[in-house]
Amino acid sequence: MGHGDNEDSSGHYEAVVVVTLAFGVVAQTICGKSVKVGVVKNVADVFSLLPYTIWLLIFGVALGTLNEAYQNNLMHSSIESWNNINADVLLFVLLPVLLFESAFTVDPHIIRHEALQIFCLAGPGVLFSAFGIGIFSKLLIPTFSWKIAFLLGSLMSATDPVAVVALLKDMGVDKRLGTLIEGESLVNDGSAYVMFVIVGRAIMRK
Amino acid sequence: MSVLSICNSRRPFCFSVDFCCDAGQIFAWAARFAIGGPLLGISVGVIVVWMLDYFVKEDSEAQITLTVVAAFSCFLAAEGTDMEVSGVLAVVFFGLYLSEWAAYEEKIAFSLKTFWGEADFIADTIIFVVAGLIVSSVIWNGDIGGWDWAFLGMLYIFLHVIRFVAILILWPVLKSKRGYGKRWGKREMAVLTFSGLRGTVGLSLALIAQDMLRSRGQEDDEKNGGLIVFSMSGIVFLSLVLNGSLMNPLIQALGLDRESRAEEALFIHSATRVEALLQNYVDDLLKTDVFLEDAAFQSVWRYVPVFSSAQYWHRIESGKVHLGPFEIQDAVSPAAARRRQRTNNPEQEYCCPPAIQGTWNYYHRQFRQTPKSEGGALGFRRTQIVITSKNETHRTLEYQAIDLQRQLANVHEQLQGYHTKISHEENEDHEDINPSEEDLIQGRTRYIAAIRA
Repeated sequence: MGHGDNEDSSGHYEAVVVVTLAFGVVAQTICGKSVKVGVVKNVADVFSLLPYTIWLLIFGVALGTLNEAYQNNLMHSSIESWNNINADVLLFVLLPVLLFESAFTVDPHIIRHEALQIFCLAGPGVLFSAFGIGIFSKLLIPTFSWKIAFLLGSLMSATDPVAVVALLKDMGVDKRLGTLIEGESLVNDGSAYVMFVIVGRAIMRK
Repeated sequence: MSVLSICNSRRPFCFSVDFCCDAGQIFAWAARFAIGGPLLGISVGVIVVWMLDYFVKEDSEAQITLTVVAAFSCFLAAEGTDMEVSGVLAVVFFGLYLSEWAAYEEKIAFSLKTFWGEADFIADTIIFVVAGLIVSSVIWNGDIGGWDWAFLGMLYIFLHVIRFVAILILWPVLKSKRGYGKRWGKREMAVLTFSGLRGTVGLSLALIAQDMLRSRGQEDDEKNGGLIVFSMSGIVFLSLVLNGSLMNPLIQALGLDRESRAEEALFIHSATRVEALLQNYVDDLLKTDVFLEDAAFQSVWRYVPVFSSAQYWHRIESGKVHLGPFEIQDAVSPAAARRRQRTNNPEQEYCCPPAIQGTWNYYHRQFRQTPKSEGGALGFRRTQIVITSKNETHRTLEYQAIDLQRQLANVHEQLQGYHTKISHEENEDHEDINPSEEDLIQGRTRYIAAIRA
């Protein structure tokens, strides 16, 4: 999968993928993709208190913690491979899948209706918040240079409100609002990425 | 990595173009990057749609493969060659173009959507777990101190502040009335501010940034990269948990899930229309039918769903549904109904089949009544319909009405079939003009059973 960036990790990527997907199936089956707030009666209800992706994040932290305790096995080397993962894998394998899927499943009719609002929010809006976040983090984190602070600002401007959009639709809120939020998240992935590349290049330039 | 890194023979994708820090050049480059991407995506989309329409229309495997090849080659061409356009924008616009096509080819697009949904699931799962792994390694290696946790909390609050300010500045454009619907106000602004959740794309960019900083290897880079992944994961966690679960109460508190008075009037009006149509259908077509003349239409009307209090009252006042004494008691006082349900067996007391007693109990509760002193037929007064989750109600109305319409039409069709058959027999055999007694009885039982089912 990787491009052999780190020679020391032998590239057992599969072990983590298998364990992860197994957990993913369990979490997905039990709690679905959206949050259901309700009375907790059994284990499944505990799971459904948090969204599925959050359980994955928690699972990742738990797996990493176990990995600190038990070493010298297949899982350990696999986790090390993923820890040192080459960004090419993420960029060229996973990112296109995410972006294409979210663009493909969107409702094109209402998107066209709100193109102006979406581009305002995803263009100038993202630029503004990226600069704001950059300045904020530069002021608070002493080890950040300005460039790294703006890198953080740009990557933090990509919103992803899938759970909320589903909720808005279920609750019958004005359809335009849900579409604006969905369309904004789709386009600001792109604009945040453009800024990310600009700042990233400035950083890598010696 | 490739897009960001300096040329390196070990890396398969890299740019030969030098990047310059002159502001004008950055702007020109950004413009080219941002405009070229959509252009590339749309042109790939045109080609793919053409191929989907003319070459692989019937073959879902080929269609899926075609979209996979196109999506990846779109991204690779944009990011991995000298084309210097944004691959992300290219893929997004390619997807949008294809979704336009998919809207007209619902059946064909189904397998595509299933496949891409699964691919998205796997990618999401991997990215979130890998982020969790990296966070845990960052935490256990001691790179994260108390100040970083405090920074995370402050950043979470600051993200909302900056999003609010951005929305406030852009508000004249955002609220502008284009197309349909009513004007937006403060409530919509609040929802918009609160919906800035962070997710997979931000997380994958953080992972890319971490790898980039690690490969640069300057002072503090390792720690900064770890901090970026840590804070991004933390923000994703906080925003998904807090914003995700507080959105529902927020919408309810703002009242955005409730009908406006106009919408409510419209809903009641359409429910009344449905009721009138059903009444015509039952009275004119079913009741006059020779096979159904002594069917239990009380029970038929019990099965027909009720959506508004107007409908509910019309059923009762016009005698389509006779409430039994215990039902009236339940309708007047829900507390009495609850008490009785605890102690007695309600099945004995309702004058409808057990299968729909619960439903009628629900109707009594839903279309709530006031006591006799305030007047009204049967001693209750009509009250406004209370719709809490309007989409659900609308959908139920739609589905149930369609379902009912279909069932009734089905029965009617069968009846028509019988009529034709009988008249056919009449034509064939002039001596036996009337159908036999047995035939009639058989037919009646059959259709009454069909209606009751």
